[in-house]
Amino acid sequence: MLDAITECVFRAIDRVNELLPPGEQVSKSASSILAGPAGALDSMGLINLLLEVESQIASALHRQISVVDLATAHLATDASLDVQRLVQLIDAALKP
Amino acid sequence: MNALPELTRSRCVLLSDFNVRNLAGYLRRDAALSNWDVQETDFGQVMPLLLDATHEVWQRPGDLAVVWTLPQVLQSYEELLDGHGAGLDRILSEVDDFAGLVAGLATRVRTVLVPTWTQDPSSRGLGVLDLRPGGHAHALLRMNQRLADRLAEHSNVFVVDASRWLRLDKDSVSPKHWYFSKTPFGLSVFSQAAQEIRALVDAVEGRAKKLLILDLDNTLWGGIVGDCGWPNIGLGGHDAAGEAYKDFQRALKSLQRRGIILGLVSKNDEKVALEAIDRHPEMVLRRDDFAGWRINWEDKATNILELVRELNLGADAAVFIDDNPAERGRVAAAVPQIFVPSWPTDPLEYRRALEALSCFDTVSISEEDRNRTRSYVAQRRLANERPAVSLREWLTSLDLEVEVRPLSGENLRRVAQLLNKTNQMNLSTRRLTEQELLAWSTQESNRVWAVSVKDRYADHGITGIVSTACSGPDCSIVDFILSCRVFGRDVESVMVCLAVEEAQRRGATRLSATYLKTEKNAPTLEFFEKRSGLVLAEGPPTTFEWPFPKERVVPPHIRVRVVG
Repeated sequence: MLDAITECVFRAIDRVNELLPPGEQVSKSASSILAGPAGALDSMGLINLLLEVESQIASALHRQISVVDLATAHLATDASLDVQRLVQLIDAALKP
Repeated sequence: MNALPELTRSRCVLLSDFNVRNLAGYLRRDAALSNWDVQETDFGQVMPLLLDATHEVWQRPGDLAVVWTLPQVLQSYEELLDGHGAGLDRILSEVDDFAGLVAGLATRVRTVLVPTWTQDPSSRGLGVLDLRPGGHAHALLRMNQRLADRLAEHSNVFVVDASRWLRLDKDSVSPKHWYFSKTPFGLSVFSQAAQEIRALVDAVEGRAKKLLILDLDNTLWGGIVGDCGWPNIGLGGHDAAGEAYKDFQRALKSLQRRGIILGLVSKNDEKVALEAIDRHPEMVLRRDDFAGWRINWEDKATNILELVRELNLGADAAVFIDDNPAERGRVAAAVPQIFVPSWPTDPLEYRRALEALSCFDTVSISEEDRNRTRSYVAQRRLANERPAVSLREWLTSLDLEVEVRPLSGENLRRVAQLLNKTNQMNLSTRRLTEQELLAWSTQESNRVWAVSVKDRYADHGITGIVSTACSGPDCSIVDFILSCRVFGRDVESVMVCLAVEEAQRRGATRLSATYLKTEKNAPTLEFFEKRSGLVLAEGPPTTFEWPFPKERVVPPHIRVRVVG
């Protein structure tokens, strides 16, 4: 499941990178920091990415999940969010 | 050699009542728009910005403004959504006001693009009553119709159908995007919008494609004609694929009628292939629908280069469609300037794929466009005759007639179109909107002539432009433009005569023409160096001068009629 979710996140990163300048693109790696002081994305970019991840999860895994809510809850207690942590949050939320 | 003129950056201003940062992002990432600065304005500021011509946004000249609003920008429509039953007259009156503001904007920027108002495709409005008066969809249809009608007379304003962008993706309208970032659409809609804007920019800047080169077997018809014979190719009949190939040909014919030239490059026996084109009863496209062809067993990339040269076009004006991905790959690699779209494997998708291409978009369609293929076919016949006689005899046999008219309301659209899309015989490659051209021509010092060409085979319509600017003893040729269809028939010399005559009429003692080099206008330099009668005077930039008191000479084989 973690691999499938990671694929969804990477596809979402590809979509979001289409509208980011070359120097500001998000790299597709587990350690890539998405949000926080060292985050690659501004607030709108982050929203674009999280909603795109939701869309990819719905298409690939046929599950509806609010990734924005997961990320928001996480960021309330932790200053940053990277790809690996996002994948873990989604995986936990998808578990029955 | 002249250096390329320094590129000035163009500017696109985005006005919207929602957050358009995603659109700006796509536009900034488009390599074809790398020369453009994209400026987002604060969302919700559409009306103030439209109303205030002195706003700082307009202090720098704008080349393109995109005015993209939600229908709720009209208060009466919002009231309708709230169930207040706003009358249609009031809604349309607000549309008129809005259109008036956009028309005002069109006097401040060169080009304006207005996406139509849309509603969430999943919204059912009043259900089965939604297309009756009082329904949301009914009001929206009338609003868009009214907006398009009101702005149709402004040649630099383009109202485009945004509902198409919404239909392409099930997540096109996204409440989550709206509530989190005040953008009502998903990324796919902005991606589509950016493509539409790029197509408009290409059209305005004269980069629209002019030539579509097609393969034959399994592209125009099903099967290999050399193997199965023309009576057995898959075309028309009671067969899904056969119908699809015929429909594809219909779409190609429609494209040709709006001025896109068709050509053929196919690995085939020419005689066998042409027999199929001439004799198959269900062929929509016949031999005279193609401006030229290379049907042989040679490399397609080489054939394509030869064909575009024969048609006096650049490879970057051409599109190549072939069912075979290997051939597409070979052509794309060997001729990177040519556009080779990816192509569906299923012929049932061909028509749809063709109709989704935006590379043929133009800002206007003229009678000359509609007759373009006829003109090329006539030229092909001429070329076939040409070797039998000397050049002079051949030119005389053409029975050439050139008609010259000053720029007027009647020919403005065509002249502006020619000005903005001609690349090869173009002295200065100046690009102007209709309004800019008209304003320039009405200055006392300036003159613009439209040059029409007719021969015994075809009426080519307005195919040339000459313009001059004079001040005291100095006159200069500003625009010297001739369509590639009528190159090499001495029409160019008639155009020089016009400029010389104008200089003499004004008592000028100097007539100059400054050549501004581009990637494509080498034929212009060749003409001015070898056949124009002007002599090289100075440079850079390369400037030619008419050697007064030398008299102008109209080529004897051309009848010239000056009207007005």
